[in-house]
Amino acid sequence: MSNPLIVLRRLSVAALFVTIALTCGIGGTITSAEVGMAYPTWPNINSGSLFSFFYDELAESFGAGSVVEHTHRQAASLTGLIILILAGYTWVKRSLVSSDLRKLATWSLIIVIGQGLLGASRVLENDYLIAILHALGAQLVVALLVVLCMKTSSSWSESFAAVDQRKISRLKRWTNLAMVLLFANLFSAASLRHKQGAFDGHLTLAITTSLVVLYVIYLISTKLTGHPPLRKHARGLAHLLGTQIALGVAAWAFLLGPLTTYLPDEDTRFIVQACIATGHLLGGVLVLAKTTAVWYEVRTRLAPKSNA
Amino acid sequence: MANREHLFYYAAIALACFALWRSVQGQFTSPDSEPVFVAASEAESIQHQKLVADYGYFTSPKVPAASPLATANLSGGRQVYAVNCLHCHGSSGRANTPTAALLKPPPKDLFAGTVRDVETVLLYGIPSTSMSSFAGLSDDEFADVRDYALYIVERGAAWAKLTEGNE
Repeated sequence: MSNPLIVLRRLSVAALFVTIALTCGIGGTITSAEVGMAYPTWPNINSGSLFSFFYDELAESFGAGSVVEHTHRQAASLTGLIILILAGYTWVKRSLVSSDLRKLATWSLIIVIGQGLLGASRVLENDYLIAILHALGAQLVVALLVVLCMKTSSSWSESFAAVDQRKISRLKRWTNLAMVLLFANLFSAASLRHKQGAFDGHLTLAITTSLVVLYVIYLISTKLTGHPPLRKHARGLAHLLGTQIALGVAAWAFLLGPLTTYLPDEDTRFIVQACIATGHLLGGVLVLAKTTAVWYEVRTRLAPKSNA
Repeated sequence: MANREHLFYYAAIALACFALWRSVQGQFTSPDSEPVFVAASEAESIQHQKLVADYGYFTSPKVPAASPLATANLSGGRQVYAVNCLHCHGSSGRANTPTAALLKPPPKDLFAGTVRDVETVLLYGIPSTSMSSFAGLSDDEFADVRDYALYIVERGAAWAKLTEGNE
């Protein structure tokens, strides 16, 4: 009989991969190409089923934009299915699985169902606020799945050198702030992408968030030498943040700034703009995922030095 | 050191609150550019100049005094149009954008006057197509964008009349 933790780990990793690569990636492409309303019915596409895989026929009948929307709904259904199995498994094996894990899996399932309903409302009501909340809900699912992946990892029970309590408090304060700022920034980014928010709001939040995340990386790199996983996460976060800032500058230049008309051909411009905007969105999701990993490590795995 | 860190911490929170407020309150400014007009002949160039004299540009619209849209807020309508309609219907209302190419049935060509009742379509959308209802807009925004769509229709009709005899 397989170890429940291994099963849960595999399911969590699969759900996280599908959520980021497919659901968020395709969802981001929909907003970048502005084909969210390619077909206004839900969950089926007019007369075609949600589980139709005849993409050529769909494109022929309803246009290529509908195929992008259709695959997003299919990917989201797959995410939901994996999380449903994951949550169900934690309940079936409840004598072998910790209550923390069961709660996390159950919350993930509740939020994923809420996400599906938000997606439906977004399409049926054509409401921008719901679209923004739908974008934020996806980030919440990613954050929960990152925590699930960490808690089910085989190395999760390893212990490390105790750390001074003041250092822990300081790191907790800053990582909490980084998480709050990241979600605030994602809200402002979603508002901007759905043409409801001002660019200066997102820019200011992005700079503030980047500085706070950089400070967290600095604190971990200089003050926590005895905690290799956290240092590894911090290094990864630094690389992702650098990439994300570069993509942000490119997105500004090509979508709002001096390079808006740099590419004379409209179709090429459209593709480049959509790719950069979607890349920037995915960069944001990955930065959030890595920051969540850092935040959760700091919250749960830093043992304080005893005073004795 | 600790004081400086506290200062940075609370400054980050204050700045984030301000930025979040700006994100919610601030007006999105869409990069909006006038579509390039390429005249097929010198006669058409003169006809276009006449059209511009009466109807301005798409991005800075105006109408003749006798038009039913003479009192409409067309500049405001253009802003609402740029946010909600431009990606499908295009800067000139001809629905020839890359997004439009991804949709089936394709969005209507407003310039060619293919929409019979602009207000009803905006209010209820067109069932089973990507044209959804815009009833969620505020009353002012709705009136402005409806008038701007009607402006494109009127401008298109004026252009058709001007170029009637062209080959």
